[in-house]
Amino acid sequence: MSAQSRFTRRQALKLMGVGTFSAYLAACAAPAGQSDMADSGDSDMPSGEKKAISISHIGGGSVEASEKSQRMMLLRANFPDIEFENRWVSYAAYLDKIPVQIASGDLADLQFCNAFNDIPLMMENQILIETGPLLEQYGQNILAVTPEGAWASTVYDGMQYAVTHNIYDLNIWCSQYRGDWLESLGLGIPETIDEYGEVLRAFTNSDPDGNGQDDTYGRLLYNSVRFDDDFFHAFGVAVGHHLNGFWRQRDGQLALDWVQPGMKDALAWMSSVWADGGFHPDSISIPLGQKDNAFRGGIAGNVYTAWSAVDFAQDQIRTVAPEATVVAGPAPEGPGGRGYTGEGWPWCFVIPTTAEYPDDCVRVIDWFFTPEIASQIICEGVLGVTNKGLNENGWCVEYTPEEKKAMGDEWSQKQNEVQDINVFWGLWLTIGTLGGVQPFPTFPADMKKHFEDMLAAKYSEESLAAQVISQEYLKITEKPRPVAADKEHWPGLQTRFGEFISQAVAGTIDLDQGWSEWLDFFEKNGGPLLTQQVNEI
Amino acid sequence: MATSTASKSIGPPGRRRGFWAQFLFNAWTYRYLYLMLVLPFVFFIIFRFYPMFGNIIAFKKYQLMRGIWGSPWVGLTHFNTLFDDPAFLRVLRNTVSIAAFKLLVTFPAPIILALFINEIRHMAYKRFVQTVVYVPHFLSWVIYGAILYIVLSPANGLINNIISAFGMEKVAFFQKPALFQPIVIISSLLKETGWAAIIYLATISTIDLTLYEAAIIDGANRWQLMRHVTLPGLALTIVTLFILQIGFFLNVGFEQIFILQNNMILSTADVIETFIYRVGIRQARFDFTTAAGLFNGLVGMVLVLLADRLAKRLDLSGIF
Repeated sequence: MSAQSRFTRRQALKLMGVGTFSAYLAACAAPAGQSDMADSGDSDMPSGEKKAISISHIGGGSVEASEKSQRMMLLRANFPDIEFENRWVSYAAYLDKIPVQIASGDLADLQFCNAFNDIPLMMENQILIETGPLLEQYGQNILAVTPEGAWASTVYDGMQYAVTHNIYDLNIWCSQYRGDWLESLGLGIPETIDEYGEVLRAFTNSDPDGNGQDDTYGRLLYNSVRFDDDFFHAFGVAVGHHLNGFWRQRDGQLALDWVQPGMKDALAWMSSVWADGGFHPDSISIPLGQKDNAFRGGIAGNVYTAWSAVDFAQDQIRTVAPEATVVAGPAPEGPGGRGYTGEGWPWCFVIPTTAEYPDDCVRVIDWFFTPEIASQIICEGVLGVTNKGLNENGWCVEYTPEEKKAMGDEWSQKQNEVQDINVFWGLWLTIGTLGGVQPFPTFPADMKKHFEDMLAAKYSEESLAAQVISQEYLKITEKPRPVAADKEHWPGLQTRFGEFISQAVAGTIDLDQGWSEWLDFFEKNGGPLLTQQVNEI
Repeated sequence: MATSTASKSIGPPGRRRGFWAQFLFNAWTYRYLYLMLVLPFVFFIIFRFYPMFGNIIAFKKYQLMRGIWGSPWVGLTHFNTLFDDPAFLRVLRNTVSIAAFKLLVTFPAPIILALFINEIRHMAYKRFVQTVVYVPHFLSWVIYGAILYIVLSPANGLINNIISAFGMEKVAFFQKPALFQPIVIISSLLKETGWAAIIYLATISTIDLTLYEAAIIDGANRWQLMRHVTLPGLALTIVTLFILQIGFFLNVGFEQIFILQNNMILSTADVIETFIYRVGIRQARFDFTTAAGLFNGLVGMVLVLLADRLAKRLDLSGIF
């Protein structure tokens, strides 16, 4: 054998050995993935006769952290006959993940999704089972708790396709102001759109914090113009949060606000405020989602956000401005009326045709809605760590703001300890998260009182006043669910409209010309077909 | 090494084998080398070639429940829709524009930088310069993009503070469509030129020193050394990298564009890759955007073949 082949063999064997060993080490070191967890649920695994049910849900933290949550632990403990596969999806990834899950057919037995974005594709491919009869049989607690209107977005051909919709207040949004800035400038909380514009201009140009520097702004837009419906409604139109559109009855039929003359008026008004510096000049183009941070950091004087954020924002601002106050205001009134856009209930669980045990899927979710279980897990925080745990009745108890404050650093440590544990946003949001959930209507009187008292102690008077305001000016789109033409035409219209309104506000295009071009685009790119189909629902 | 391997594979003189006999002879003789190729080969089959079959959904109406093979054929429908779509035509125009400028500006830049760095005689300074120009490569586009936003901010960005210090009006860089593509090109240049110069510096280090000595004896100055010795020594590397790069001509860098674009400047900032992401993934129109991706790949393949042929015609070695 030649010298070269001896060398080659030795080197080859060494390399292969090292490679194999490395692969072995990598395999050993790899964390247990979802497929591993899926395998553990197979009915032919050593776990015996257990049924396997996978749950895909959106949450913060990680799959490991969600396993530590009280909801998941209770679930596993209460259903020993079921092996749950926990298919956690991060909040940051769901927009990409769910369409890919649908495309690959890799849906969980209980799949969390968005009724407007995801269900049309699922229905087009006939991969969902009807849930109406299952809910009647196994979901009485779900039905008793869920508002009637929540089901509308998942009805196709008269049949229901959702297991449950997540539950929170129909509207949580309202406009909030720096009360101390208004006072120092001698301005009141604006009632009209003109007053509102003046307030924004004054916050930017009149040194409301009195430090002699040009370092404040009226407001930050939210990553382009897509979350600013509070003043659009003054012109009788709305963009719809996240550019989701807003439909309402006009002349006997449903019409999209985006092509109404009021939209052009609203953009002209915004553009004039923009030109005067009322909006932060970066906020229309920088995707940092800084609108809330700028308000809480004492840079901006107005924000459109959840009413439940009032107390938190005030605490944050007071770290840089000790005398700061935050007050909620009514939707500014204009020639088209006034309003805040309610989000509706787009989030839900569905069951794909591949699920082996659909009746158990409904049974499992329904169990979460029983008063005994809901009363243990409805509280914000992790049981016994960032809340007080269960009381003698077995109902959870939260810390009051005063108790949290008194704990000081200990409270911060507790929060750090469990900050990544979060699970099942798709059942209901805990009290205080995104606006707060009122105690379930099915709770017995004493249980209900316990949670109502807890809720009352949790928020300041200003916050609760903000909650009332957010409900008072509620407006919600009248398009109940997606239509067939949405898939092909809506995304293109969304992109073009988003582009047009951003340019119109910043004054980089001529408004008249841009408006004509947009209307022309709408006409030629499926706008009339969409309108026709929405009216046929 | 290559010569000796080739001559051995021919076998003893006077013995002629058929193709398969020769193949088996070589396979057995170099079995350990071939064994080492198995894993990469399997990798390419599974992760590179097998997924290519998925491209047929560009010619089908893809239905999830019927799968790739069961979905009905629609011929060139998606391609017709694609080229009738004004949004795609805009996307194509932007992509070609950014790609062309990137090629014109960012391809020669590392060559020039490598030539200059090679001329630095003070070793400590040379290393310092190399380190400084390499560092931006190690920042992700997310970080780099955030830095750009801060530096170019119309509110209190460094550049705008300088502009206003000279009494000029501030510029909203990320709100003007005309400025987006220059920002993309310049930021690419600043971030990647140093890193891309490494391969040229490595090639320069292999140039025979006696060529420089001979040129110096003939009276060449430093400029002439660079032009007549260093640059010809780099020619083969330049051509190879050019052909490889042109294969990805329409891949203008998803991450960079996606991070820097916003609604206001889509007219110049929307490119094929962001279009595919937005329409294909977010809107789940997989068949339609596969057609776009296939078009992208075909353009790349044609350009590679053209560049290879051009290189051969110019008496520079190609890669095929």
